[in-house]
Amino acid sequence: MSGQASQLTALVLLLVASLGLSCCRSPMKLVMAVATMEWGVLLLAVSLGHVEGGVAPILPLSGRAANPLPQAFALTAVVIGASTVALALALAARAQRAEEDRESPEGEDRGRRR
Amino acid sequence: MSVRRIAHKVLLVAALLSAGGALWRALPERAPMGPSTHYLERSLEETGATNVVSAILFDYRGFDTLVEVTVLFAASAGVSCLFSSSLYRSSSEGLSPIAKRSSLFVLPIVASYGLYMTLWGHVSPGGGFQGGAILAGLSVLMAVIYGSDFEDRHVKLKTKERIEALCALGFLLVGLFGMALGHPYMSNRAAGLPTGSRPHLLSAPFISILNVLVWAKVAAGLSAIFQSLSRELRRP
Repeated sequence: MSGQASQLTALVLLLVASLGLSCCRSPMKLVMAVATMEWGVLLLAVSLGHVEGGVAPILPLSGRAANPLPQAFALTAVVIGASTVALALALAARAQRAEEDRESPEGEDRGRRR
Repeated sequence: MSVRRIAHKVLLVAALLSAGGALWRALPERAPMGPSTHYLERSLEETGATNVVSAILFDYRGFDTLVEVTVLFAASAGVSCLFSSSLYRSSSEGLSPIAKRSSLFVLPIVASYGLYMTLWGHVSPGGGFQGGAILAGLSVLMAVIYGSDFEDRHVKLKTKERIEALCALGFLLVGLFGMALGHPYMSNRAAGLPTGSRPHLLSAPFISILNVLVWAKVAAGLSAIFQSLSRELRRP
C-alpha cells in the first residue's frame, strides 16, 4: 500500500475513533474507541516512515530502506497500547460489576450489613 | 430523537470532518529521515546488530524502552490487583480430548519459534517483544484448549509477577555496565564493550541479553494480564 493510502486509512480510523469517543456511553464501546484510535496513530506513524520503493531496514540493504525510527516507536507503542487497553477493560468490567451489585436486591442487603 | 440532538450530531460530524481535513492538509508526505540515516549507515559497526529497528530499540534508545517496559509492568500489576480476589470460577472447561492431544504437537513449535525470534532478533526480523507476545499467545492457546483455570493450576499469578519484576531489574542493571566504565547510562557500545563486526548469534551481546529479558518480561506480563482477565469473579 502506498504511503498516501495508508495515511488516509489512519485518518479515517482516527475520525471514527473520535466519533465513538464523543457519542458512546457504554464503557466497553469507549475502550473500543480508544483501541481504534491507537491503531490509527500507529498506522499514521508507520506510514510516515514509508519510502517509495523502500526495503525493510535490515542490513545489508538492497536499495533505499524505509525509515526505521517510526517502526521502533510503533513497536513499543503496540505493547503500551495492549496493556492500557487491558487495564481499561479490567476497570470497565469492575465498574459494570459494581453497577449490577447496586441494582440487585441482594447487593443492597450486603451494603446494609456492612 | 429531538431536533436538538440531531443538530448536535450534525455539528459534531462537521467539526470532526473539518479537523480531519485540516490534519490531512498538514500531514507531510513522509517524516524527515533525521537520525535514521546515521542508524542505517552505522548500526552494524556501532551495535553489532543488522536489524536496525532492534538496534534503535535496545541500544540507541534503550532508555526509552526501559521506561516503556515499566508501563507494561504497571498495567499488568493494575489488572492483577483488580482481579486479585481468590473467589473466582473458571469461565470455560476446555475442548475435546482430540484437541488436547494434538496441542502437544503445536506447543514445541510455537515455543521454539518465539525463542528463535528472540535470539536472532538483532540480525533478522523479530526481537524480544515479538517473541514474548508469541509465548503469551501460547498461554492463551492453553487456556482455550484446557479450560481457563489451566494456568491457575500450574503457574501462579505471583510467579509471573515475580519473573516480570526480576526482568525489569535485570534491564536496569544491564544499563549500568556502560556507566561503570564512565559513560552515560544504557550506552553499552560507547563504553567499548564487545560487539561483532559480522552478523551472527552473539554479535551484539547486550542487545541479545536485553532481548531475552524483554522476551521473558513481555511473556510473563501479557499472560498475567490474560490470566487475570479470564477469571470470572464470583460474588463474595
